[in-house]
Amino acid sequence: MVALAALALGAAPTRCAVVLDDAPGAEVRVALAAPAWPNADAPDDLGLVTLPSGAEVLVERALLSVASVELEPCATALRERATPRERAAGVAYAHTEGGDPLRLDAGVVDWLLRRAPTALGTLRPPPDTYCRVILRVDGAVAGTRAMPADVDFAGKTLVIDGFWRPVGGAWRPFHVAETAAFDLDAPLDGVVLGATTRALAVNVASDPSAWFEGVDLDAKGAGRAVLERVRASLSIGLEAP
Amino acid sequence: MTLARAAAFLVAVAGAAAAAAPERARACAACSLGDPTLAAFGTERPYEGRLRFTFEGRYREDAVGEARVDRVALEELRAELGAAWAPADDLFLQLALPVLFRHLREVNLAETSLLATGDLELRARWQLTRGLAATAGVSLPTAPTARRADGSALPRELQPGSGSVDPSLGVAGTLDDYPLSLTGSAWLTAPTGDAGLSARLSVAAQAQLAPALALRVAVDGRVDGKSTEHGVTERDSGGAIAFIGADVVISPATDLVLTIGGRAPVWNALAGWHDEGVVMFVGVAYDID
Repeated sequence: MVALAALALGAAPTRCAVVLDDAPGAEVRVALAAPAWPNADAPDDLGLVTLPSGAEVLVERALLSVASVELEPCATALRERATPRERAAGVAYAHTEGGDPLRLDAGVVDWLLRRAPTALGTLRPPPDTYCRVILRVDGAVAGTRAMPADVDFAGKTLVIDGFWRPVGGAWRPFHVAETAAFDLDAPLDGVVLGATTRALAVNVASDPSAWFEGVDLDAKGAGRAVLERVRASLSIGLEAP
Repeated sequence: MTLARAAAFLVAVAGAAAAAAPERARACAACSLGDPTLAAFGTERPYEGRLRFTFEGRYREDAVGEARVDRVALEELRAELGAAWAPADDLFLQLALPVLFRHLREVNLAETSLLATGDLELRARWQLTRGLAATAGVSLPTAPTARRADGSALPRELQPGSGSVDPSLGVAGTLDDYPLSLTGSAWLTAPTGDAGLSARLSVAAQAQLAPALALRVAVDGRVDGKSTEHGVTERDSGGAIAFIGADVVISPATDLVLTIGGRAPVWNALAGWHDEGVVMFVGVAYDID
């Protein structure tokens, strides 16, 4: 009895955990490059663009819904893969949501407030040969990461608010709200992730000075034109550290 | 007097465990099989004052998750030290502390190895009749939360403890017709944390081939309820699995019993993507009194 009680008192506080080995596997870090706002003197929460025509655009809000960043294995087109969400057929399970190692749910990106590179997340893919990285812009839905609370962004892909002033004109407000979805991809040229190449960095960038080039923000269809220019300004950079 | 001493023992264990309780709850990552009281208590009737020390080394494999998506492959080597004492002729108490080595391989080839103490376990066996006993146990959350060098917690599957108080109840029976015997047991665990209910069933037939040598053939089964994580049901949890295997039981000296055995899964109805591999174990039991 005494021996057992002593063992109990002695053993219970014996709490020991030693990590003997901790080797990271293949990782693809996805980051948003700091937007190159042409007028660096503008306050951090505003963006100022002077167009070649001399018109000026003051941006107060610039949100883009990046539904996902995905890696495509060379052997399997992504469209042929059922995502865990689809397999789950609407039933929520732990270890399932966001559990696809080839797909990162990036969420709503605020281009205005991000004056420094921002990590969007890390993919931990299985060893394979990968041929493309795909950025999917799609309408935001309930549960989308970083969904703004002060604006109705549901179903939208792009919202830009601000003021603009044509040459010789007065400042006037403008509002862009678009729902069109699009993909942007970049070749990976058969990057082999696995035993040899363990890390890859994917940097998503955009040039705000190109967003409004040649667009009359007072004209009908200006929003779609801005969306097209935002799309054209997006780029995906790859880096193997 | 005996009850008072047993109560004092329980209080000591509970107090020590409470002082060592971890910070948060986790789903149970350890899948077990068989009657955990068998190695410590054997199938024979205890006698007052009996003191037995046990060691059990157990190796198992476990893989959870969908291949190329979220599969983790676990190897575990578990060494359990135990001390059992009989305060009366019909009551056996055991205290057991496991030490775990776990190796986890994730889908992106990340590998992590851990050596840690597990949850302290207290078990009891109450002999109702010559061949029938009631068993009970409680696993106390004494295992630490295993962390990486940067302070972040290791994956749930690597955590050495369940993080919750997990009580168990069971029943064990033996039919003895020397040199043959048949043992059956049921062991139900009702975790208070994220893990689901778990019932272990075991049937073993033993033949005493010589005074110091016995051969045992066993069928072990387990039925698990669904587990949750942060309130969400885990896809790859729950279901049933059955193993078949054999043990060699040797008594090379008086009061010393060695058991070497193995089990292989023969029927897997575990839910989701969940595969368990072979289980191998070696046990040593030594009676002091």
